[in-house]
Amino acid sequence: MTTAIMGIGSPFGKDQAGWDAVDQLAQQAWAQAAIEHGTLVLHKLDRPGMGLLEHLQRYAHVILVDAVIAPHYAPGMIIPLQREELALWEAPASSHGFGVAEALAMGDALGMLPERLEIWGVVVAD
Amino acid sequence: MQEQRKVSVRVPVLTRVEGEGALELDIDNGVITNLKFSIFEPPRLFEKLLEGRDFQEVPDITARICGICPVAYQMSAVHAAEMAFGVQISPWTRALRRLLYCGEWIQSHALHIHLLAAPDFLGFEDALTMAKKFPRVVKRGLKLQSIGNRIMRVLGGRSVHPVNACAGGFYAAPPLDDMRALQAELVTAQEDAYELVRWVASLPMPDDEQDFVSVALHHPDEYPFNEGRLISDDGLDIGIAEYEAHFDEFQMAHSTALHAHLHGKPYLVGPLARVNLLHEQLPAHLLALLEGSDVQFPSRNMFHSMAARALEIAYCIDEAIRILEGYAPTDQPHVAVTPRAGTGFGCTEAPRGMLWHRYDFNADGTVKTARIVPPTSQNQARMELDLHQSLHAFGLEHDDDALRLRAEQVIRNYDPCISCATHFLRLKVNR
Repeated sequence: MTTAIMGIGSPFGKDQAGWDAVDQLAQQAWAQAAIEHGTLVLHKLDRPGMGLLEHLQRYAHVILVDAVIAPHYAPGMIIPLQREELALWEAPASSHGFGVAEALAMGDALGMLPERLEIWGVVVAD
Repeated sequence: MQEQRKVSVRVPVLTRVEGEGALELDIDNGVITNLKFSIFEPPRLFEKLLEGRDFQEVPDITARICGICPVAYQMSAVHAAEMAFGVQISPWTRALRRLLYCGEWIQSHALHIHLLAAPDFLGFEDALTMAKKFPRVVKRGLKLQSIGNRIMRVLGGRSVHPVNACAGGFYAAPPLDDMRALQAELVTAQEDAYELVRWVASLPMPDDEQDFVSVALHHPDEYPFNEGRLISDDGLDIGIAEYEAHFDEFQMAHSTALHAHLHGKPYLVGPLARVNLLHEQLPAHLLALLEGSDVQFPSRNMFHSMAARALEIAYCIDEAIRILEGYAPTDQPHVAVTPRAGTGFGCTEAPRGMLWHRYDFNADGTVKTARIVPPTSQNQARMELDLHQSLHAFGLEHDDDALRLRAEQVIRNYDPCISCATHFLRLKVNR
């Protein structure tokens, strides 16, 4: 089974934490070996919105890595998250309001989430 | 008997990249005493930012005006530069630009129908709630949207702000294998698109006939994307260079985005305007998808805009397949462009309607002045008029929530490229 690790981010400041995590992984010998064997793929996604579902559908096991603001944790910590913990916008104000949480909620409603989905947050300073 | 009450709707300013929407609505004793729809676009100053920039930078800069319809801005810009410099693009480029535009229309229209507009017509609060009841419909919509994005990615390198378009053509020819894979995927989506048209046409839509003027590009040989003359259903037929002699942009006190009039009156651009004017250029098998429904074109019902959008998705799928069938890579994806001093105009059909550009270039190809007239700005005056007519037709005696919802529905129906395309109105009632 292929595992996909997807760093979510944007070119803006701390929001690059998910990308940085993937970049660091790509330097690891074990990750390089797994990529060569076809058991691991790495992706860096720039604010995919609902398009995230398209990427998720291609794999049975996905690990998402994204920057999170979590006041009870120190910046730099890596914390596992449950999908339900991700705050949905109270009322998405525009198509720009479709973020990771909204895409995953939509994927859940449509039965489009991968068999195994892990979400890891890289805590950044607020 | 009319209820004796005062209703006051105020929308807070929303901060969004593509602009800010606001609505003021006051009803006093059964009469609308104040109605203003405004777009508070922050001063992004694109036209000034373009001054002094090289003509080949313009498509990539103007693309940043919009993340949903960047292709439209790129296409209007490259055509304007080509007009100014006397460049003749190849048939290969012409076909590929149509394909790129197909991608943008498909993704933009699919996004609007499924995630923004359809919940209104089915009584859902949002797309997520709708997805739980209509998973097949939303899945189909997301699939279509992703195909549109894929077209843009294959041709343009990425789906948001693609980077392959340039004055003279494209920087690189897409690989044949990628184009064949795209073609195969589009074939599998053809029936999805046809089903979508039937589904949208079957939705319960308010019966709200209005009188309005439709404006669109017209090309004698094809449904328009990049080229044509500007026509209307009240006799306009002009070259795009004559735009400024007939259309007037003006400032309204309540909006930082300009309003626009044609011969002193509001007008409509976008899918409904296009289909109203150009339905005879759509293939018969697509129009036949409407049979048995209440939707027929030309239509005076603004709510038929969504059916027009669905029809255009189906058209774009067909058109994209047709273009891809004839695709072969080339080692000359663009022709040489030699700049000169001059003026160029570009007018193309963005998903939301006609997008007009004018550039004055210096001899070295840098921009002297730029003017950009986006479709959402052009539709603003029509939207305000529509709100007046729709709310009266709906009945001002309805309760506050129903009035707010109808006002939202009217605004969203235009697919404005601003934040008000989703549920955002807050109602404060003064009694």
